[in-house]
Amino acid sequence: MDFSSCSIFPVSNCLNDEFSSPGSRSSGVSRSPCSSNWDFDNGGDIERGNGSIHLDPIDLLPSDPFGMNLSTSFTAALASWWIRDCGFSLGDYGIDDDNLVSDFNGYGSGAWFPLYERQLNSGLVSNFGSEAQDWGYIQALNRAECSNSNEVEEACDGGEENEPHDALLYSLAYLGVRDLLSVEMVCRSLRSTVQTDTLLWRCIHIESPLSERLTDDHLLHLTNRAQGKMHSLSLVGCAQITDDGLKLVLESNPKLKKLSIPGCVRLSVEGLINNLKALKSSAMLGITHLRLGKLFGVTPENFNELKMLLGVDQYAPPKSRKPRFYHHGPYFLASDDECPLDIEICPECQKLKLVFDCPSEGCRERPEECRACDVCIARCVQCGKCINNCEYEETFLLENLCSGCWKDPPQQLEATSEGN
Amino acid sequence: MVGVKKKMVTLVSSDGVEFVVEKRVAEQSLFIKNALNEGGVEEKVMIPIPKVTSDTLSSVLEYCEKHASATEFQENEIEEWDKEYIEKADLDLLYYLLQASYSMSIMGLMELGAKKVASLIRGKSPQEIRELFNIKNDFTPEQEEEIRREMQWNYE
Repeated sequence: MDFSSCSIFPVSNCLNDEFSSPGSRSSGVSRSPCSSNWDFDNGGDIERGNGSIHLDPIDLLPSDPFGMNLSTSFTAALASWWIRDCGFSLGDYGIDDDNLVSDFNGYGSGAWFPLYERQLNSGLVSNFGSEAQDWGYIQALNRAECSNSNEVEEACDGGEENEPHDALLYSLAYLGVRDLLSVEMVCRSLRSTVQTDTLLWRCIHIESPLSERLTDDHLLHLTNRAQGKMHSLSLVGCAQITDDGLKLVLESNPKLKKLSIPGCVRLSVEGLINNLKALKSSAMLGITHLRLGKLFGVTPENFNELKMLLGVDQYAPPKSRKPRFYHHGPYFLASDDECPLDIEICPECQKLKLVFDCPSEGCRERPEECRACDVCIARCVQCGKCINNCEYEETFLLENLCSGCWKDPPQQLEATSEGN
Repeated sequence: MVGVKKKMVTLVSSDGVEFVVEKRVAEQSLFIKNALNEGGVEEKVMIPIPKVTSDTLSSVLEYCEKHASATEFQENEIEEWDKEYIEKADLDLLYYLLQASYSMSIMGLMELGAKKVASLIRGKSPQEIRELFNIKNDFTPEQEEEIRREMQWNYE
């Protein structure tokens, strides 16, 4: 981002107007011409993948005659400034003691802002000239006054509507994909933050109801926001995702370590193996954890191939894993389960399946005897106990429910994972 | 780091109220801890906490006090306490707490507050989020249309 040419550019006046007076920003319905293509550029960039861009040349004409993308870059610069500010000053407090103390000593004399100033001087925004610096300065002062005097009301107690509070931004990291998509639609600044902060998209977990509607294009669009930094991808029941779609995602995310695809019915184990092989041949395969769930008909050859691709030692004895209990809830990557692959050979039928343990007291003493896939040993969908020796009911969905859970249903597990 | 015996420090909020607390309590804030360690602590330490009002600071210190003696409690006891503590904070205080914990570098409190705000957002529509946090919808009709088209798949 190069702002060096901005100062000679007439449009910079409107940036001045809009940004150098933060006080009027809350009532800022006045739209500078250059900001009208703010969203267009951002959205268009991302939407390019599925070819559904709607171009209206009239929107483009007056806004940015020299194609400088000025407002887009400015917003992005602000966003990255904020992110840098956040990361930088945390580090500052933690590590850089000298600076801290010099700042700290200055507080008494009212010089609390060297940090901001330094930030602006050192960062991207510095090229932008003194307007930006003033703006940052003024904003910082305003915030200080705000909490000093308590007169300026916070967003929530005045009747007036405002920009989103900074505190909201801290919480984005704890939201899942569905909620991030909602936050993105709230206002311009949140939209820009959600779309440009790659950290929010490092771990992507998609489950019902989003999963039913998610197509290859949408998935690629979302995963591209991580800009290649995605670490874990979990697609639960994404029935529209194809092998080709997944291939594109895998290719653009070489840092992916964990892949979970239970219930993705259009994916095939052969397609998956081919994808992984292709990645491996171009030395881009970083996946070490794979979760397949119940649906794949995996042959022993597939199984060995997968183990090889994940870098599992074929002849090493299988590590003992934590007991896995059967239940009907959404199945996804359990963070405490570090096995490279979730499927294994069922001790009963010798097929490659998810193998479950039994939580009932009687079976715990001899865990090996009650350990099999869900076909070989029928289990209660609620508690996961085997129902061989007790009464049970069959539900409308032909699932089994043991008499204990039938009479006294346990509380439903919360379907959404905390903090994704 | 000399003289561990109940060393006290005085924190001054932005509106000039003084809080005298034990050093180990104040040191829950990484920011204060670093400052104290570097500055060579003298008897009478006054630490101004800019941008944090007395109301907020007293709440922050309540958190710090509990967590400074965290070893005396069971882990789930602290968890319960955290839950109750953040539950009784209204949205205003929540904002202030987050900002204060950020500027004072109190990671635990920041996480606690951010998770609470996230739980308020979870499951809400964009309009509900705007109403809850009183955020202005500053999209132009064209942008709205663009977003609607882009997000259609999500809301079918």
